[in-house]
Amino acid sequence: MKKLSNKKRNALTGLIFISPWIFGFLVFVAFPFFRTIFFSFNIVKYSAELGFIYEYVGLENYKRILTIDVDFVYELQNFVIRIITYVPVIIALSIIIAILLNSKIKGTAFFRLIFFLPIIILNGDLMKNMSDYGGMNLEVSGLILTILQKILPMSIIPAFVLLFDTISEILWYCGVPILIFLAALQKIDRSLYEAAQIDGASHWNIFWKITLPVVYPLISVTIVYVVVFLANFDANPINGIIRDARDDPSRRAGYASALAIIYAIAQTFLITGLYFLTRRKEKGGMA
Amino acid sequence: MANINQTIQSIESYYKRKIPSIKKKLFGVNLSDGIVYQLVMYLLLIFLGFVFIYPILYMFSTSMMSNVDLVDNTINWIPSELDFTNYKLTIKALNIPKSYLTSFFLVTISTLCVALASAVIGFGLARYEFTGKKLVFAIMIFSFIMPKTLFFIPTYQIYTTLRIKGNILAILLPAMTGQGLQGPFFILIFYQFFKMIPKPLEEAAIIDGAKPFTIFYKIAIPMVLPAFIITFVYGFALYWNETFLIGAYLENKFKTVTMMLNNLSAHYEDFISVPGMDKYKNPNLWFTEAKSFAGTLLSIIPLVLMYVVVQRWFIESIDKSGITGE
Repeated sequence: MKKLSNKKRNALTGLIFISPWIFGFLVFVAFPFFRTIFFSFNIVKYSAELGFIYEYVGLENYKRILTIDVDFVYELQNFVIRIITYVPVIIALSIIIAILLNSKIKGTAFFRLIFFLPIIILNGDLMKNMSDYGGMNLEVSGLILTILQKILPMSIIPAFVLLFDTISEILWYCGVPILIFLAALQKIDRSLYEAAQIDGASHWNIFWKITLPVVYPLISVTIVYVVVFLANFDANPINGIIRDARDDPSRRAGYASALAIIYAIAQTFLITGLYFLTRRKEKGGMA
Repeated sequence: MANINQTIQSIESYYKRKIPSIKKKLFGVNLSDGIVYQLVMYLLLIFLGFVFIYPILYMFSTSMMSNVDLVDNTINWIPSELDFTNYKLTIKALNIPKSYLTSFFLVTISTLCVALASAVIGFGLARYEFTGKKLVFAIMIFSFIMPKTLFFIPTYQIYTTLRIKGNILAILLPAMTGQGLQGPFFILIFYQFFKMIPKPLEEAAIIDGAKPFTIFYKIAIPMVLPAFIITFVYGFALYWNETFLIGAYLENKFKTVTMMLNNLSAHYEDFISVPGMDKYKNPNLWFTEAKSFAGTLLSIIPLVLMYVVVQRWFIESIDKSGITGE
């Protein structure tokens, strides 16, 4: 066998190690990706004798989705609104909980156990069953509502009621974000806090000048994770629509593919938008 | 008069001495040892913890109620009597010992495939230089961001053509090639851990004549145990909870417990419509949210048990992972 140069052999070994991935990428990502685009311009039928039959219809599927049928567009709107309202709350709550769990008090191990539980047990049916039968909302009792009305302007009361209705659900999506933020906080040297304190910094200052700068760069990554998770979650009605469309005689795979493509585009826009909105500016900031 | 002034002064000076020590006790000298601070922390944690656990408590309490209790307005949280009927019926409807075993079988094999594939691919990416590596990462991020529905229709067609629909391979093939559920995530975890192995260790092995594959499984694998733990725990949970792809690709040939739960009301009606079970005579046999909750809890109990057992290692592994090093 001819001796290869060290560098080339190195590269070749690396490629051998990732060859399963290359195969998987070609078969389960690249090929399906182009097929989905192809399907979306066709009406796809299946017959036992002839296999799959394609009938080119141009943009027909897209037109039907966006201008005639209402279910998908409606759910997509809901999804976008849900993401935009949930994500800031998820991030804020996760940072708060991560800070609480990182503090030097007894019993954090127990609380960690509770807050990380959703990472393991969260599934679509659990969420669906809980929200269908009202297990998810802490009802705002009459007393709390009266107090709220006394101290808050009328216009933001509905937002508060909504927050109470959805807070459990939102908290359940916080598992992985808490984990990410907590891991970052644990890397801060405790002596940093002590030094700041000796210099006379208040809790408030320490939060803004030490804690937040450590956590902040992770927010954009966490947002990407949260959006991807919510988008692929089984309880997300859009996934149901796409799955059912495939079996629906009037829709079939072509229509479902067009749905999937519109969904993917919307999701990409959402993720890149949120990512660049929250990404740390390279210049300036902390030293 | 002078006497009174003196007394006031002495009282004042007493409190001036005393107050700082009270203050010290309440607010502490350090950031986190004052009583007030700790109290606020605990209250916040308990409040958030309660909100967190509330749905589960609600589900549990409802699942213990008979249908009569459910419609009784005077009963809110505590059932009138301990009633396991819901569980007894739901266990039958979910076909429990068998569906647990199916889940375990399918999920364990899938997770094993994911772990092995991610280890091999992650090792290749972390320890070798080749052109196109940046492209690989870009594609991985792309496929992570794309919804699974985008790839699922043609994949379904491929499986139809290859006739492996309904075969366990339909789930295992993507897992074995790093394209399973959240595949890029697991590859990146292994990548992070393999990156941390010091270079001299590898070089020493090469000088001793070790082949790349020997280095991989003799040296590298034992050093990334935490990555395996993360993958096993999180991957297990992901596959256990998946109904969309398992339902579509396996066509109900594998009746996992989450798949059964997905159609619980239908399974329940099938099971209840046998002779001897007359729901018009026994109102407790009607399908209600109590059954639904009992089923939901039954489907997550194995995961909760696993989590309680392994959580210490799981969290330890995450601490080591440098998950945040991106």
